[in-house]
Amino acid sequence: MVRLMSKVSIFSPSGNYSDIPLYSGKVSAGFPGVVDEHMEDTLSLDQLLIKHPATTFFARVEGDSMIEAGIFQNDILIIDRSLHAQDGDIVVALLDNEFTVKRLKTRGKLRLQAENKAYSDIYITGENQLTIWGVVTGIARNFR
Amino acid sequence: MDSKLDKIYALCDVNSFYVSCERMFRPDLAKVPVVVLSNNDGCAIAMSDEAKALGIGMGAPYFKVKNIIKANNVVTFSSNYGLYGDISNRFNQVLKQFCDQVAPYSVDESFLCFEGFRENLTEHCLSIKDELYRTLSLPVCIGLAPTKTLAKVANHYAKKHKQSTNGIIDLCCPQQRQWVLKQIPVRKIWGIGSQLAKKLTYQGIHTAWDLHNADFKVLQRMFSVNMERMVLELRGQACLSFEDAPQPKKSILNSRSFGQQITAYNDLKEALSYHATRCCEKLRNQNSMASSISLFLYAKINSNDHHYNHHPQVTVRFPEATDDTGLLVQAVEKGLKKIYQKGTVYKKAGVMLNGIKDKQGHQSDLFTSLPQRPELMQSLDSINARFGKDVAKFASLGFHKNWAMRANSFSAHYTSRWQDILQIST
Repeated sequence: MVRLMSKVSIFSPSGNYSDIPLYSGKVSAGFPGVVDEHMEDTLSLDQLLIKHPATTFFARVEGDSMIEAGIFQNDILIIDRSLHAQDGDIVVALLDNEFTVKRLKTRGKLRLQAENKAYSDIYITGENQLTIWGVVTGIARNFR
Repeated sequence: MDSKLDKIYALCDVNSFYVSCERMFRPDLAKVPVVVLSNNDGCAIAMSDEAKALGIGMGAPYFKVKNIIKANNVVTFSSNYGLYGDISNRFNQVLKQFCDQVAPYSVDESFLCFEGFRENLTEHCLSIKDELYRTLSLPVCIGLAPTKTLAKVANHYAKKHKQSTNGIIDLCCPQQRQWVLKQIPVRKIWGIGSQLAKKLTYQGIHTAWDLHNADFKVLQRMFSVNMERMVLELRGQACLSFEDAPQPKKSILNSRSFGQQITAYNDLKEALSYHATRCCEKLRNQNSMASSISLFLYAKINSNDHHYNHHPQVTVRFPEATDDTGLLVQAVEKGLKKIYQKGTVYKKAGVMLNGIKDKQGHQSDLFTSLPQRPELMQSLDSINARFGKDVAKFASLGFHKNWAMRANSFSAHYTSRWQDILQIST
């Protein structure tokens, strides 16, 4: 069960859901007593993917307008609402009070850009009401 | 007293909290009248400003406002406490980014305490307000003052005058304080109930300003509540410290009307076990143990053309205090067998835990020791926190929920169930 990989050994995840034990220093297989003493911390995907838990939300993707950015139908978006959106960020926007996911372009004319050649950009005019709801900081997807 | 004067308290309160939680995930409802209904969809417990303008008041029974709701396309939600609890938690975490000392007072309001910096506090609160709206879609009002009682007053005033105050008011300056206190009826002061307000009115005390100027020594002799503290707090002398936290609950109660009439023993057992489970979670949450559990039922008896209500009740005492759901559920079965009557129609059931003690001071009795399982309880709580309510549970809770409440316009559990998260079109 224990395998050496340079200085870090990887354990098969224990009963814990998203915590994968991380060990420091070399350990020998078959001596769990030694392993226990070197227990340092656990790797948490939450910690890696979520910088601001209080303001982070998840949403499921519907549609194919962002496939060239690697965002597919049914992917789970990780949305941080505390970040200030910048030019080029993928954002969850409220366009006339409806949710959409697009790339925000602020240089030149303000627009929401799809990442699929079949879709054209949405230019924001005085008639539209645009609110940036949050910045997409990552996605989660299962392969099986 | 001087050191206390240096502190400034803020009360930050979310406007129409439950409605604001629902609107975060339904931006299409931003300008639409929205009402959130209590358990069983019985009455209105949160209204958007648009719904208030239609005349739907706090606590209005659903059947009384049904016509207004239908005629004006008011959107209604059953209360989604899982969602509101999660948003409440996030609300406090965001507040902590702006202030070291945050004390949640209720699900939608928290006290903040600022020490040392008096400059630009209103602007600081404006940033708090903007950030809460930007990151959590929560509109808030903030009242600033040298005492908690005044901060409550300030918040109330800001809420009533959102336009002119921009949702923030500072009562540290005496002129401003006088101006506001004169406009606040005495019944709106924190800690003054309607009975006391009436009695004060007889004494010629109508506004908060009247009470501010009253001789508290005279009032102290007339009323049992601490009038001195109240008057001094209104005058800007802090008597309640920031740390004055509410006492842990002395009894814990959970009850619900049935969606339909229940007669079967098993359905009752499931319902009561459910309530016992919820109570026990609350118990463990506040680190306490209970000494006894009471079950109560509401029955409707029809005999020879006359109806009467019957409220059978039973209490089961534990040999020692416990916070073990399994033991509570066992007690439910034991107690229910005593009061259950076949053929009776039951309308409501509930559970109350009494003799609540702090877990820390608890000493196990060597001779009557119950088979307590703290580790099992801990795993139960963490499994359910992670995977959803009652994913792991005692079998007595059953799987049918024939007794479940009638609520029928639940919003999604956007933040606590994967199958319920927002769907966003690209």
